[in-house]
Amino acid sequence: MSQPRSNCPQCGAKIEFRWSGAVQAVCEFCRSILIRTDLDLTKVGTVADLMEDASPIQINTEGVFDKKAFVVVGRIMYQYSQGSWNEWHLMFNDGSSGWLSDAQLEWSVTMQYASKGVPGSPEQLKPGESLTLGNTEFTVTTTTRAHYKGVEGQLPFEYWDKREVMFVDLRSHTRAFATIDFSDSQPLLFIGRFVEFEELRLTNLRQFEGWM
Amino acid sequence: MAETIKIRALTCPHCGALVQMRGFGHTLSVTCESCRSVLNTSQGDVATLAKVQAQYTVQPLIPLGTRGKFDGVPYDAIGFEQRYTIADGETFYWQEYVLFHPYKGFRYLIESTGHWTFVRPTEVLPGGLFQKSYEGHVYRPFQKAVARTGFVIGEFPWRVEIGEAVTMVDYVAPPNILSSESNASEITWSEGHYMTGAEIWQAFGLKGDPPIAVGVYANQPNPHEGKPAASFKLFGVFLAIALAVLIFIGMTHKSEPSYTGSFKFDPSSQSDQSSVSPVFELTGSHTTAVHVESRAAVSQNWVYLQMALVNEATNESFDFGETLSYYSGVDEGESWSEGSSKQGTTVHRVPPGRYYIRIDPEREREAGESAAAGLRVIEYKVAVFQGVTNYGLFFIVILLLLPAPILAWLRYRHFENKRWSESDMSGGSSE
Repeated sequence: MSQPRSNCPQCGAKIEFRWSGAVQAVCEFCRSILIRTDLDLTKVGTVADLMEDASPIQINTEGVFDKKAFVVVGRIMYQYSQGSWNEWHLMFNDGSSGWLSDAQLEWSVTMQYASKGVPGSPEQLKPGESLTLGNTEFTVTTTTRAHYKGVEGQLPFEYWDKREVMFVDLRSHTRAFATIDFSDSQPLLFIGRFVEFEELRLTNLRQFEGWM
Repeated sequence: MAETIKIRALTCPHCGALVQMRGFGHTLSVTCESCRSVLNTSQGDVATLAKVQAQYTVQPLIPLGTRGKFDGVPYDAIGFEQRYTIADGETFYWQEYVLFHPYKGFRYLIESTGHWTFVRPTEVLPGGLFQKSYEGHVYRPFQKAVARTGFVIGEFPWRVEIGEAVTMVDYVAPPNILSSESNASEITWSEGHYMTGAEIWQAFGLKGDPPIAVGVYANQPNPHEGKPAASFKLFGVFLAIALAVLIFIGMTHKSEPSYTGSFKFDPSSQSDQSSVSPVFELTGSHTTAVHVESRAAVSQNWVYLQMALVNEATNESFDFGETLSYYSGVDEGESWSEGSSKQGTTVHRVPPGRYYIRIDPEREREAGESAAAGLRVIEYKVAVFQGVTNYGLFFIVILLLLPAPILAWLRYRHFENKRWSESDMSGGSSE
């Protein structure tokens, strides 16, 4: 199956979808946010310059998680009172999609799950309260009010023009980790686990002055 | 190839000096080296967060910008803060270093009175309410304190506020420590392990000597850990050897008998067949073991000897019995034998004095036995040996061996007492 491709309705540049499930893409040239309806692309907005940050990840970084190879195809960046963090959209070699979270170099990989059993509003999830998701008992550790800072690359859903988003993070007595995004009318649930940086065997990383 | 992220520099809005940032985009607060203003970088532009820290100055022992290696991974020391807590009107200070690696993230070093702890944030929530369980270890609560930020220099991945207070609780399983820091909105956990000043100096390649560690620190490993157990084990081994030697001597070494006598037992006789020995002397000033050996000329025969060792003066009696029997034959071409015509009994803790021994032999006619066989006269001998098993010596051996494990245990406890005397959690003293 060839990868779906089209052209940017704004500048005509070639838009190649590396992941067939991608719904949203950002044109690398004119920064238009494009929504895919089959292969017709509709411009819905423009990405402002992403804030300069120090994540070692970039689009096209490759790695391995649970014996599955992945490539980074997109990114959502958030800012909150204690800095910023990135959710990197991963495309796995079996066609599934996941997220690599880089929160001040604390690393986790999550997958999206149906948000069954998740309360409809973050008010019901105060820090310290527990919530069983799947077979794991989680405890709410933080609720974060964040500002959506921008997007890059390809995403599995429409995600643009957000102002303020509420996140609830949940931890457990194992490395299992869950996060709930309350930015939409329907909460988005992501479950996965914390990982060590070297565990992901990442290549094509950004380089740092003084650390090469 | 990927772009290289450059070390950024900004201009201090307070004094105009150039301020470098080794933590790249992770640095949210940085101090100006020349005027010590705390600068907030989180919004991209820079605002002066706190006024100049003119109150006091602390020189970090590890110069900021120094790279050290921990478990083979390099980290830059990029930030330093002195924190303090006030307890019973006294102020206690300790120092914390921010360590940074651009891929692996942040680690921390805590230094207090010459003791060091290497700390990393934890992602796994510890279990338990009072004691905490974490990665297979049980952590006991050690102290709870309100920690305040006193002095800062360098870079921090959070917004620094001078005087900011958090509630800190430490749990220890030396050499490990588990700590929680909480404020109104969140609780964060970190784990650490103890390091010596020498190890820190080596990790960073520092010159000179590290400060001498004072007292016993919360998660300092007990140098006597395991020694009491090892010492008691050794004690047990020596005790077993001593016991084996004493038993061996007792079994093999025979002194002159205190008494020997030969008797005849006629089962057919209607008269009393019991015999009484003449009085003999058991010497010494302490109780001893007395070994009574009996032999009987039994062949395809048996006899039971009921005996009593009786103190002539006190009539104190030690009663015991012995069955002597010997049978042999040939069955399906194989010869066999069972029983023994010789037996011995050791009577313990017999006081010295004049004794006699009374022997009451018994033999009943067996079913199907001929009268001739059942009524044969049996000759038997009894010998009394005063035991060479000297239990006094045994107790001296115990007394000589026991101080080593007791001392090891006391040293271990002394260290633990010093550790827990610094604890303000009631659970500390319970062990």
